[in-house]
Amino acid sequence: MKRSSLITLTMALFFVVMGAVIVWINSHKPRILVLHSYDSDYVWTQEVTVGLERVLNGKNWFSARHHYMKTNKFNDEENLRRASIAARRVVDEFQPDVLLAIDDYAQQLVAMHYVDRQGLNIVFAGINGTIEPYNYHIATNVTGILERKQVAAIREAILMIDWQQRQFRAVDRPIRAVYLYDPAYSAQQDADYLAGFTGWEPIDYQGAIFARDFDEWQRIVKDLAGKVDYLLVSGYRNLPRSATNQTFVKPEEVMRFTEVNSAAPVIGMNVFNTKDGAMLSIGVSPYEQGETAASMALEILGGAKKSRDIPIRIARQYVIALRNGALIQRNIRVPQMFEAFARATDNYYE
Amino acid sequence: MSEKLKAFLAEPLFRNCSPQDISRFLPSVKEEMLSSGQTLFMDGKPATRVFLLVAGEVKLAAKGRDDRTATDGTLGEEAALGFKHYTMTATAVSDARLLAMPKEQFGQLLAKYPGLKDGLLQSYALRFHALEAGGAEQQTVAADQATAGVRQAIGWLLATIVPIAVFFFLKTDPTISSEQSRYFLAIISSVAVMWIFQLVADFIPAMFAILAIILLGLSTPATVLSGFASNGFFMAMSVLGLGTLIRGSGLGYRVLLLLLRVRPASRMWHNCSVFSVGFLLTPIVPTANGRVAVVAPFVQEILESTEKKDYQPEAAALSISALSGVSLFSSSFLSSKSINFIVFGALPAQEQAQFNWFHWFVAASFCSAVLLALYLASFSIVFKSRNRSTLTRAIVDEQLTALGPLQKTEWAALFGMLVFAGSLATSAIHRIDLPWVALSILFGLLIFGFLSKSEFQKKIDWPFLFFLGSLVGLVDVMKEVNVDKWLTLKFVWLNGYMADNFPLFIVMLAVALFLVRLLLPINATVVIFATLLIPTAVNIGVNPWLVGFLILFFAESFVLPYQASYYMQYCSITGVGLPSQDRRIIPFHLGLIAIKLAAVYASLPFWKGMGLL
Repeated sequence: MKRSSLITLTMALFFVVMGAVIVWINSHKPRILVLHSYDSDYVWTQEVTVGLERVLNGKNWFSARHHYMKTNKFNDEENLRRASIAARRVVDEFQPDVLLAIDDYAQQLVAMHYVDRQGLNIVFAGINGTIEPYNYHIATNVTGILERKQVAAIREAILMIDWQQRQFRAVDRPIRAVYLYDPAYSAQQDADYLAGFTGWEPIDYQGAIFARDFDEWQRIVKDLAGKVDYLLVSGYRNLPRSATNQTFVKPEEVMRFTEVNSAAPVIGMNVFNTKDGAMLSIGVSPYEQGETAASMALEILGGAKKSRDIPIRIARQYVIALRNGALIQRNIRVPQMFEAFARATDNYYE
Repeated sequence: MSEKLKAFLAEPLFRNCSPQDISRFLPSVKEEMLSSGQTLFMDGKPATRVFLLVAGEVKLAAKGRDDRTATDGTLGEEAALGFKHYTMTATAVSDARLLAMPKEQFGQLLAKYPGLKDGLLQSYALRFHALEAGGAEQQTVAADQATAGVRQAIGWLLATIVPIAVFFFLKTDPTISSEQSRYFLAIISSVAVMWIFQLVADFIPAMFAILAIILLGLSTPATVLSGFASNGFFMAMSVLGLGTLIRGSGLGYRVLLLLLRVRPASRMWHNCSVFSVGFLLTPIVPTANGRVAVVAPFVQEILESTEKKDYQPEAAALSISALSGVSLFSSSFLSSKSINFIVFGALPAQEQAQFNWFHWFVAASFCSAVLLALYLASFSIVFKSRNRSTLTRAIVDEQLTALGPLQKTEWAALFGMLVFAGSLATSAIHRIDLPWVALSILFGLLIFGFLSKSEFQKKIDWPFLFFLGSLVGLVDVMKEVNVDKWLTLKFVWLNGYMADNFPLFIVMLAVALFLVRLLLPINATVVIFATLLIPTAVNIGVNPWLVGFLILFFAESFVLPYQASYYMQYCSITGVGLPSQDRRIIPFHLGLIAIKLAAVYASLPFWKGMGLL
């Protein structure tokens, strides 16, 4: 054999062997597709991602990809249809071993279509309501963590604040609270969950009020003066400006208006409500949602357990956020540990 | 100063060359004297030198055309433009003095000053145009040069004044979010002026933008330079490398001969073959100029065998076939044109992951199929031909025999294409993203020596890659300083059409692009429209790929040769295809724009089904 042919042959051998090894490794690498219902600039999504990364970062024996459905920005019927088709195409092309679906739209528009799909495990996070609408209760390839509003903690916080308030005014009726929400699907789920909560006593929870648009929201906020003692909020990101202008109002604008015009203190049920302007928020920890879902995904990918062997968990951690300016404005003092907790988690705003 | 140097410095073509480079180049330049009647070079002889006519008159004679006389400027540009042979005969009609420049040394100068090629191409194309127009062209060229000088001066003045004006004008705009945004917009306005006035090569204004952003501290170098580490950058680099090999391998020529062998005497089949090869080269040769370089010489060969009475109609039909084949489907494949990578780079990361090569093609496939059907139908009506060619299968067989078996480079090109296609078909198994597959192919071509180190240096369009990397970084900075949101706010009227009445938006976009393309080259047009419309589309929930595709689709239209460098190149090589040669050419190109609109409207349900609309 000629010398040049030998060199060519050994080069070809090197090329083919290296190529085959790389292809083999890649084809056997497990895959996680993280499907976010919202956009990457949404605070909740960012914090869930922080939780996910705490568990997933530094591990390179699997591939991970994120897909954002942006339903917080565009959620009319047509946009939801498009988001669903695009996300399902990504799932079909990427062929993940674990589909990590975060928040309700990801379940409703995508993940529920892969229930009992061979070779695919679904791990959910951020489901506000029940899992029955997605058929997860009868599925063999689904597990995850439920997002449950920390109503018991919110109730305790209201009672603490109210006890202080009553030092200055004599009130002999029960504390009244209502929940105001926008057309978002998750907000409706929250409304249902609050209605089903049985431990409100001694607070008189007067139910949920739905606002179609910002005009209606503003009217309701003003009308509630004197009728309620605490206004609960969580979802207002899908609030069209008016019946004729369907552009969503910026969340900061909604909260700024609400905080200034509501006679009753505004209490958020998502931690980012305070970032938007609310006085106090007690929300489910997005970090826990991310961390738990990622840990479940790793358990499945590691082969230790099947998704059906991992029990569904309920959120246990919550985070407090405070806006000092709003507290001063309303002359409300909260326990020192609230402030310490908010500062420790970087959720304290002047 | 020597006469040689004086003559050199007086030539406008070299005005952008540095004194150091001219100094290095001069020793290779030889002075030549020709007596009246002496031949400088002959049609069909190897093109080895470019000449600069210093004094005297030289007659240029090309087949099928009237003779013309040159009294100054360059001659024998074929040597520098990559032709193997001269395409005309040059004979001195009086005693003449010339400077002869060897093509190797000229090639080094071209590598450093790519703008020189445009100048040579223009000189070559204008000469053909002039052959028809008569003697008035000398004055036109001189007038053009004078106009270009004034245009450049105005351009530089505006590039200085406009950013200052933009900055102070925006000070009064309450919607702008920060000082950084104002600085960014001022920089971009200056860059836009440089592009619009074509003051320097496209990548240089981009370099200025990078420098200005870093020096003004608007963003970190990591963000500004992020484009140089992007998937799109490596994909473009790899595809350009593979394209270089395919273009130079002769594989396209062989395929054209094999196609022609089927029905060598049929004029319509000639058109089909020329069109098909252009079309087949579209996904694998990433420049329209590269595809023209393969197809155009062949058109010339076919025309040489055409009888005089059939020459003009056949030349027009073949020109349309060749130009349409190489350009009509440029937006259908990500790898068809380097400018496609600019749009790809401007897409958000999520869309980049989705619209890789294969999915880009799938999404564009229906529109391309409708376009193809409408094009073929209209072509067969407008350029109907029952004439028979004198070309026989025996001649084609002889040509194929002369080519011999597949050469090493053809095998390499074939291997590269097969690996590329195979990796697309098996992406679900190997799970490697396409940019890295493309880089692996490039790696293979390099280690096996199919692409040498010097070819890697010279034949890959590094200025374009710099342009691409810079623009991707600029888009990232734009987001960082919130200019994308500001633009969305400023063009709220446009957002309304884009979001609520997409069919109307399409026609508005097509008209706007048609008008802008009358003034601006395609790269500047695409960059400006993509920078403006893609972030807006993202912010209002319209699929950004679709908007980017439509920009590319409509921008790739032309009516006159000056609107597309490959059209000029085609005219230069073949000497045909100019609108003045056949009254059907302009209406047909205009009709193609209408056909494109029809194809887009027909594709709306398809895109809706895909969830893109």
